[in-house]
Amino acid sequence: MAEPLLDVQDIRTYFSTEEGVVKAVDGVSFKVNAGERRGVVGESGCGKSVTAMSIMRLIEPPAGEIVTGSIIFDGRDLLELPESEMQRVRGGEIAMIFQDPMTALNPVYTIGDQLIETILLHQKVSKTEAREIAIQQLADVHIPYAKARMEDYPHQFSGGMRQRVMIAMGLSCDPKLLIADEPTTALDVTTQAQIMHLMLELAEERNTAVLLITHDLGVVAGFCDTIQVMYAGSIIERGTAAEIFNNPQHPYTWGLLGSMTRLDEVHRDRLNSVRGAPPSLINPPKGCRFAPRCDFAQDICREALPILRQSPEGQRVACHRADELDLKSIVMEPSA
Amino acid sequence: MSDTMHQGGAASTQTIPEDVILRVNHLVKEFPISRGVFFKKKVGAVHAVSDISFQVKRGETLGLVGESGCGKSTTARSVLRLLQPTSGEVWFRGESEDGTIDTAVDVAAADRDVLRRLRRELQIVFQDPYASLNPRMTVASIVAEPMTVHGIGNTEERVERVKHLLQVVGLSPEHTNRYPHEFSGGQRQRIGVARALALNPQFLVLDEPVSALDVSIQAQVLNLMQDLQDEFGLTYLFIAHDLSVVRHISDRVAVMYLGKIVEMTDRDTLYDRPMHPYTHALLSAVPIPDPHIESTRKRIILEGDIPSPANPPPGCRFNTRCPKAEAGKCDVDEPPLTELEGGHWVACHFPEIVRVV
Repeated sequence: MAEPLLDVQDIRTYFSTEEGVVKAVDGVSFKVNAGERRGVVGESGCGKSVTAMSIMRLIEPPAGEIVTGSIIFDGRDLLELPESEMQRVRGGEIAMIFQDPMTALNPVYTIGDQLIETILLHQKVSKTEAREIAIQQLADVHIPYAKARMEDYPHQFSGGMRQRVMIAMGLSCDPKLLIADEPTTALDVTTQAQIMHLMLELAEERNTAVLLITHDLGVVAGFCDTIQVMYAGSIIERGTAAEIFNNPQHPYTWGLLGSMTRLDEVHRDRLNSVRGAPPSLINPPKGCRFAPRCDFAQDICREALPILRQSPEGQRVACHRADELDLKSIVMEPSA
Repeated sequence: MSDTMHQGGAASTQTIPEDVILRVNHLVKEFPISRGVFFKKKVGAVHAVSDISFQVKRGETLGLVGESGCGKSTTARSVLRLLQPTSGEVWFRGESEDGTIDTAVDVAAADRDVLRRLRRELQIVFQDPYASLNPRMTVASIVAEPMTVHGIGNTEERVERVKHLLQVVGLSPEHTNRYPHEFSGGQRQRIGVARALALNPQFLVLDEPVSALDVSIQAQVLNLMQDLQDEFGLTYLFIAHDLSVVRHISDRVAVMYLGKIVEMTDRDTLYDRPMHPYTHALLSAVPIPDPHIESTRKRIILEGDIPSPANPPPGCRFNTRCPKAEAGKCDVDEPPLTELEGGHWVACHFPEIVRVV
């Protein structure tokens, strides 16, 4: 097998706060192949965004710090690169788009100026050429009257169009990896469909690997080849989209899927829900971090932290009881 | 109570059936756009809600869905008269404590005293549990405030009621002296619900009550809302943009686009046999958490963005983005909301059942 494009090994990203050290990402390892579309799902505070920011090295000491681990991207450890080289990686080889396209764009520069700036930073072209490239990019993300709209400011664009600009900017240097952090969360559902459609089209066309970070399992289902589910700072299950959705092995993944309302579901009286709330990351529970909310927890779960290992079903799962539990056959008792 | 209630409101000339708790007739809400510093001149208006009518039956949940800017929240706020409607009627037919049905009162025309009484019956739960609770008040004072304002009970009775309400919404009664920041998002939303229930209302507007919550917490709050409805016989107007949540909770659903209701029917009909092209697009855009279904689904991708409500297009408001629009018809004549089958209302010149889900 070819070398993976991205190989993240045991990263731990901690933040120091007045209350103590928040272990936002605590021992996360995964690989992404060239052209692979990977979904990173989980609820707020599970560490999915911090994982992305760690890869981009956007965590600024002293507030936060990547305390251990390595991030091998295309043969180099990003954590060892000098800042000047890292700047070439950011926006060049790895691009990132964010949830809120309004705050990610500078309100006092025109869309055109911002696109041209990115191009000039990463490509050896003249200003006139950069302008041509920028117009083409806007057209590629289906912005009508691309040439005229270069002169517009971000506030003159709608939310969906701003996100298209972010995608244009992100893909302007043909990155090998695109990190999309909740790219459609701030958008309406019909606009979300437009944007996901566009991202899929462009990623397939250019064979760009994508790390899609989202809390929305529905968005992931239509876009990703593989999925990793995060909970309280670590990956608790990882597999192909089909494995995760059709046969979840971790009680958390299973509970999360059961608590979703579905458009195609005729009716059930009550939703299953995962009781309680996620633990504090300052003093996470000993043992499995999901144990306090898990209906299947036993003594071992409260004692030892389960590691991510191969399950008989194919995917990787961090659960002591994965082998014996047959979640598929269990009808969940809805809790209040 | 019924006596005082209809004195101040315009006397009911409408006959509203006993099983209808709320009937909205031709509701319009416009926000003026003005220019000039000293002499403000009205130069236009944002047509947030443009002549909509619907009714809600006692004990049911009506879901109001649409994308941002479609006027769903403005509708809800106008119904409660948190915003003064530009025109239109909002008839509320409450129930007395002895179980008899009161005469209908027009909330939109009610005077101060009547409105004050109506406020007890009509309550709201807001979207953002962080912004809708005063951070400097304890849970006890937040939940007791409606009772204080309406002069219900003495201090002791209120304390008891607060404890009871907290228990009802699944919080520990010992939490009364804590502040909102000590609670998680889901728990805060429960506090908001407890406050809304404090006056024993009959009708609750739920304005995106779970949109700000994580999926697993969403399920907890939705289950709670259903339990409370069963227990207290509440009627809900459930505002949301999430069509799968609306399918789960609603008995009937109205779809809004740019200030208009475009389609309204019972839940299963809307999802199985939608007739308006906008409903088709909206339903087809919602992702389903199943990779197999997603890979075979056909999406209707709408072109462009929603037009500005300050300058809505002539004719059908959806015509600029509609795949079925015909020039000379849809951009000229506005299609009225018409009952095509029993209880299935559609505003479209070319309605057609399309299975999208």
